[in-house]
Amino acid sequence: MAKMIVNVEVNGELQELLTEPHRTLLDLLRDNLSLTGTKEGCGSGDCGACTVLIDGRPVNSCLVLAPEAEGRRVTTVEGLAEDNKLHPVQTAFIEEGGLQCGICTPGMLISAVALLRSNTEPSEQSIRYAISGNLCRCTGYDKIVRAIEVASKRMKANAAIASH
Amino acid sequence: MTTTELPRTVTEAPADKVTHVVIGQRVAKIEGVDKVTGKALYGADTSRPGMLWGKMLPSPHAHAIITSIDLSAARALPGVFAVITGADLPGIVARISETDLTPEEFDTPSRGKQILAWKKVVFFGQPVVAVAAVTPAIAEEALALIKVVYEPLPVVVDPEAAMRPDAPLVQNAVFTETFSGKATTPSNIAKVTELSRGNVDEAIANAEVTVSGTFRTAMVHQGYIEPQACLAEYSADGRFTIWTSTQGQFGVRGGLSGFLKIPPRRIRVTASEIGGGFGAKGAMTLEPICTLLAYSAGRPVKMQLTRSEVLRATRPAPDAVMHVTLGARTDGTLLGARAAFIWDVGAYPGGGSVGGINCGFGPYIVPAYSYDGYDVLTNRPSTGAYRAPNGPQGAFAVESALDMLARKLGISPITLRLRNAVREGDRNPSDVPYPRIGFRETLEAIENHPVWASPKATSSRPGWLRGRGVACGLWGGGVGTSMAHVNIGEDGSAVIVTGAVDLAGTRTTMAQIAAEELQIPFERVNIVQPDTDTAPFNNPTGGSRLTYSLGTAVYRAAIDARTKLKQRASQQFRCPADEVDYRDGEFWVRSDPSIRLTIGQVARSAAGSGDGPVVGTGEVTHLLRAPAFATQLVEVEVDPETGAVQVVNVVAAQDVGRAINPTACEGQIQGGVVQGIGWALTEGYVYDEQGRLRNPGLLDYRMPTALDAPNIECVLVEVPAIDGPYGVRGVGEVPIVPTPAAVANAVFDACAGRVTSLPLCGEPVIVAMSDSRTGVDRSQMVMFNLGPIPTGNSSAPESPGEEPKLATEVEDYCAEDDVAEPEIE
Repeated sequence: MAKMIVNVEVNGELQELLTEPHRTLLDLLRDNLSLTGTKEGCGSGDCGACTVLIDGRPVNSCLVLAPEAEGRRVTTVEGLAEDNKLHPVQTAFIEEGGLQCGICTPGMLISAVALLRSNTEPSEQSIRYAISGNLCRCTGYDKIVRAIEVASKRMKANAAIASH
Repeated sequence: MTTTELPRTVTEAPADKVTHVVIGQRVAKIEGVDKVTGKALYGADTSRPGMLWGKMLPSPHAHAIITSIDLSAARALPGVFAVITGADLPGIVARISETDLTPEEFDTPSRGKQILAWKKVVFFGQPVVAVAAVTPAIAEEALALIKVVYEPLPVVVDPEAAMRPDAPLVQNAVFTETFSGKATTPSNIAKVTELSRGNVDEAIANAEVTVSGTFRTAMVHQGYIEPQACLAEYSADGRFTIWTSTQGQFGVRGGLSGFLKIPPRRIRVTASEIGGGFGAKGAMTLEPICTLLAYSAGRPVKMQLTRSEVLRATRPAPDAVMHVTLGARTDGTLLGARAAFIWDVGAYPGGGSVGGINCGFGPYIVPAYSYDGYDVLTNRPSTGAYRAPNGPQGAFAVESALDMLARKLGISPITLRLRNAVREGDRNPSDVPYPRIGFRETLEAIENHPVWASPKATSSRPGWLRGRGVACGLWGGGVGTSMAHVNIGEDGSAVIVTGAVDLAGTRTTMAQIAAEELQIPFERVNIVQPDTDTAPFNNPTGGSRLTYSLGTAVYRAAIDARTKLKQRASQQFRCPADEVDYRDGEFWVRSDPSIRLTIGQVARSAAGSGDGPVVGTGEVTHLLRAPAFATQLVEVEVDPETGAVQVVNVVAAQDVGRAINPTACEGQIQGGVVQGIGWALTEGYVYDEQGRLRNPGLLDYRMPTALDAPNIECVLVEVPAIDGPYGVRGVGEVPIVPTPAAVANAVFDACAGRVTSLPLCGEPVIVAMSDSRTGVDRSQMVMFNLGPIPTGNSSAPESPGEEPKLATEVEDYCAEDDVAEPEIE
């Protein structure tokens, strides 16, 4: 099959990637860029392990064809920490026991970051709703929900300090 | 036999909790940063130069003879490097091992041998052909070019139907195994397990009250989010290197060694980070075929299962049909119990047997009991371990029956269980005495919990009914060989080296144990899990054995390191070692505490001395099992119109022995409870009459999401185990055991419908409510008279054409009840 070039910004870097058109954004990230932090759990959009941000919105990258990523801005789990400093959501997941095996964690973190960008004070129910597309089989979700609550409080406090 | 006679392996008494600094702390996960930044490498995340991709062709039939396979077009496709069928297996293994191998070796009903279908397919989705090609797309194209001609055979997917003498035979060479021998004619009944104590008939006949019921659970999947993935490479020096997502890298090395008939030294296995196992990755899945493809292609090969392959063709947990009768006095004292469990173990033997009854009857003193267990073959994938294997099924039956008994007697379900709860010295159904256990303490924790003490709330949803249920569970505890090294660094740090796989948090608890015993800060301890060539031996991780067994090895290794450090310090102090004291990272001579050496100084000087750097070693081969008990209180809301059920609240009390890390313990409990909720409410394999799985995806195989999961409060009960360090017990298995029964008991409390089959959401609830109103009892099991199993010693084999009839004991069960016509006619 003829290959094509896809231009996409991944974690702040412009990439020019050669791919067959039937491959997915998930394949591009994992195979072309070796960004294996984004996981494949089902390949059909049911588990959320492959969740990335596309132009700031959480999307199952296994359901996005590579050419559809043309001109888009993609953020993966590898792009959450800045200057070797963890994102508050990442820190909270570690501290609150919000991960066990860790396979759902990248997608879970992306969904949490997307939520907290649009809702700085989410209720427990809205947190559960925001991550309901991300299956976790280890934690029973409880500590993930707590971690996102802790992160939202910290981010709010940090924002308050920054605005002073 | 009293427990004082039981051998103890770790002689150091559980230390006073107060003296512990790191044990019991909620320290953060040691590998957390790698996991939140995407750096942790899982099964599919490793690649090699020149790597190919492997794919397998699944069978479209559940049962069919393979008449012919045409591979010519697939082999001719550019980019295809290897194509393997079942018939090729003996030849390839013979070339690898340079041994004479007869095809008959593969002509055996073993899933581990028949990694590709052998002459016939026995379940839907069974791999028939494997290919390796330069891209996944070309590998799939090659599969599409393969022409297999099948001759379909009659299919049996229902275990009760599979027990009939005229049922289609799933395997031609499986003969019923019993305690007295093996049958002489092939049968779908792979194994019969009979256990008993006392005179159960008399006990039940003398009982003042009896309850009985038949309970069914569906085949369910472990549901790990990471599909199995493996990368294999062959080198011209005859060595294989395997990267794989497994619960035991030494298990894979041993398994491959046996399969390939080569010594373990030719195999090097690296366990990747594992994205969930729950028992399923304790057995090999992709490793043998991936290895053969790599050898045949002469290139590294990576394979990753798709989700539909995971669901169709790995090893789910067996479904079960379970009949239970309990006889008791009016005060609730159990007199006798009878159980007959049918385990649908799928298309190959293995996976059923006694686990279910040890978990089911195990928590209670049952003076007389009998258990008949049947492992039955069907045209479904062969089954395997799933968190507390077979415990949730057995507990669903027994704990539901206990709930029925409590209601019949009008006593509290907790009172009933406390009246019959086992204590230290009582024997389990396999006649093993319990050492110190904390079962009653978990029951009391629930009885004294504010949720149990408060009146039942009404549902906030209009028309919905609220109910509350209790159930208990047991896991006997896992043991096995573990080894660890503790390397002391010249900065006074420690690195634990182990070959065990951490499924979800044991690296952190191991580091806590080493920090505690070395008396250094937790932050100064690291832990690595290198490959099988580098790391000390460990049995696979499973059965909640790791914190207990590896914890013992790490504990011993840390103490060994501390002893050696003291020895080295004494050389520097020029005094006998027993005059050296150590505390919190510093050594001194007892007579002159003013001169001190830090652990780092001692380690640095040791590194340059004749004795070399300090490495502590610890190993354990067998500990006394440390049984773990749990009691759970579940609150549900039921929609009587639709049968929808929402679990709204769970209080989970569990004897953890000693919580090394309470956050990790809670995480295990909460995760197990939510898996149990999925098992109870929505998860289950659905097959059509042709034996095709109708729900091989995560949309239709419905696991709980964050919206389905309730708040789960954990009550950590600490009754120290008598073996192992600090009194710790395994935590991971038991929390799933009580949950399905607790949910069903809560549903009954809400709507007065006794649900006897899982998953229960929807129709089963509606049917149970209707039965309750109309007085219909569907609880009796129809079972076939198996007669004496014809064994090699038996003189008169049963004629195969005999009309099946109800077993006499089942007729007894049914005598007092209004039973529908047997469905066997």
